[in-house]
Amino acid sequence: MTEVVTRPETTPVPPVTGALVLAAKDVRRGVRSRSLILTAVVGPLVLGLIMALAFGGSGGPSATIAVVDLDATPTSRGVVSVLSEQLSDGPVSLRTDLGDARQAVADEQVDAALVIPAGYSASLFADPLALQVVRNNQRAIPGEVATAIAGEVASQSDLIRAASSTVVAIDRSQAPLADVGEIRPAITVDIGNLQESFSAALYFGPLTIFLFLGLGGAARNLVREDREGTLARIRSVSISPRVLATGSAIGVFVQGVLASLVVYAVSSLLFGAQWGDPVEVVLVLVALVVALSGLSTIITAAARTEAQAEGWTNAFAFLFGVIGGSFFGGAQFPGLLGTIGSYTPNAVAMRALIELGPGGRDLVSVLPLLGALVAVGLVAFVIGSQLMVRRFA
Amino acid sequence: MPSVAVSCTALRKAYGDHLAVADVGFSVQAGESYGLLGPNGAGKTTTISILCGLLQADGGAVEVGGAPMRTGRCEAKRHLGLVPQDIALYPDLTARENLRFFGRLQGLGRAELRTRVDEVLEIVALEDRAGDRVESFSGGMKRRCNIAAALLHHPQLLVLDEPTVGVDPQSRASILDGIAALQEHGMAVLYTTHYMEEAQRLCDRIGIIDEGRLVAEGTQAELLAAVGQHPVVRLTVDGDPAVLAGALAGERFVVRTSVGEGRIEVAVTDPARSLAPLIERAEQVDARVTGVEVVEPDLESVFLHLTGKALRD
Repeated sequence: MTEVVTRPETTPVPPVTGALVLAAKDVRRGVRSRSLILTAVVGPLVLGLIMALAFGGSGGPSATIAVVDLDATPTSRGVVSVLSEQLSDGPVSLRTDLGDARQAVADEQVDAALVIPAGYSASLFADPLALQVVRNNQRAIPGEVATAIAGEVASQSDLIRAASSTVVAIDRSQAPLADVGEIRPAITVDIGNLQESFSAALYFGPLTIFLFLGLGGAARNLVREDREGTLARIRSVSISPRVLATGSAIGVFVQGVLASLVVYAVSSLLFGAQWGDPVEVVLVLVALVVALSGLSTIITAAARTEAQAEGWTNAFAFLFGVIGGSFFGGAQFPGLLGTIGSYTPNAVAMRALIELGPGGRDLVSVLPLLGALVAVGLVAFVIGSQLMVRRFA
Repeated sequence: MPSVAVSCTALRKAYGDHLAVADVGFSVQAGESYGLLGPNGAGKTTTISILCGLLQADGGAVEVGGAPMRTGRCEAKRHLGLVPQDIALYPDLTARENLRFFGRLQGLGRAELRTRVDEVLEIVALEDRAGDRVESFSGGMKRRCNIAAALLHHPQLLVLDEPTVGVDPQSRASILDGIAALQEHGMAVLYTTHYMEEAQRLCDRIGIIDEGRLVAEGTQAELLAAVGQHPVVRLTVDGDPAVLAGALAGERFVVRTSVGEGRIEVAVTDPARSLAPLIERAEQVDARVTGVEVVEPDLESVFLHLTGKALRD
């Protein structure tokens, strides 16, 4: 070695800059070791493809939907008839009694029920009543498919009214209207297409599992850095434990967003998955990753060994994944477990995604769900940061 | 720049009932090299960890560059560069990427960082391997790069925790020369080692630490004098060494004698002037001298004297 003569100017590195430098290092190492590509891109896509094949190609999850006609008019019977034909490729179950339909949904004999309310036909000439949906909260996707069907029918109220009006107009020399069996409106409800529009669930589930598995990456990194001495070097520089936690969380966030975008893009472009409006989808995915990045700081601060990091990560991934419905295309547990599962970040994000789907709600309506995800992330981050401070105090 | 680069007073750290560091205190001046010498488990790394703000002491205080040291974010950390005992580098990043990363954390701006990375790579003679991953380096190259990462911001105090462990002789010599050069340019060096010869070669002052306590401190000459260490003339004799020991008793230049099988060790005040009289005495008692060895006292013997055990125990 030769001698040193210069003394450079240094300024204390701002906390945000320090966190970004730490995060950039984590991402760079993740890419270089290919672990990021495996856990965040290849894994979710392969699992998603398997799920797509298991559920019948790249199409969406199939659903059994009951139709209940409480109006019992030629018009309503015509609507039922059209829906039955449209549902000819998919299972449909006709019911005549609302209580029976509700029980069937509750017992999971059917996934959801569409109800044509009493007075529907008459309402067409004034303020058309909407078809109602009986849904099981544990079967979110079929409920959303039924809602989408109701939306399609509602959007074609003019055609149904026109069909009814025509029959009424030619009625005078014919048999009484009550004798007319049904009036078939010229409406089109492509149930298959609507079901496919929820096919993103097949990729979203595996994506969340791998996002959960990615949570432990930061914890494992920190343990390894502690063992190899780089953490001591980082801490001997003026970097606080909170900056360490922030850098770690940002690293997880960047990797999570990257993984989400890749899965979103590839599943859409290669497998034809329909996620919905890109901006809305990205917002949901980012909100989910914020929640998970926050949770990752708790694992990072708590895990003292790689085995602990691995254990915490697997526990999070499989517990949240199973009860939150990320496995098997969104299927959730019945009863209390299902209720608890519906509050997991992955389930909340899934709900936001499907509610934003065709015939669903607008972005403003799901903002509370996105807000909840961000809040979970921030609260978890604060807890994780505090644990990190205690760990290194 | 304060003339005292680091001062620590009454440092104390316990792990349960085990007192790892007990009332350790010392200071290092700018441009001075201070060696913390002790066997494995003596408390060197704990002391260093407290000093670098990695570990909270149970008692005592540390100031680096005149600023108090804390475990969190603090001014004092800007004045020190730590070379951990392990190779604290990312093996899957290149040498340049590692240095850029640590330089950014040390607060170097982009332009300054580029210049400093090139400079320290030249200092540790790794400029030709800057773009190679650290995992491809030899042990000595990794050690040199490990030191380079602590030099980027040219700290007032360079703390090296056993920086030559597992290094080949050539790289060790290069590292020690480099550290000496840094010291000449005003950088204070705190050096922990259990290699006595490194402490002797490199350090202006030495603190001997054992079982968490600083048992002695001073220059090498001061330590030798303080514990009354003397050169030893080791004679191999053909005859009875015990008779020779008896004949030497009372001689002015003899401090003490120690008899072994076929040999005698004589601690003397001045080996150059003692050698001829010693051989003469041996001949007088029919003990023919067949071998002579003069052993100068060193830190090993100081350590042995102070703690009753060898440095590498």
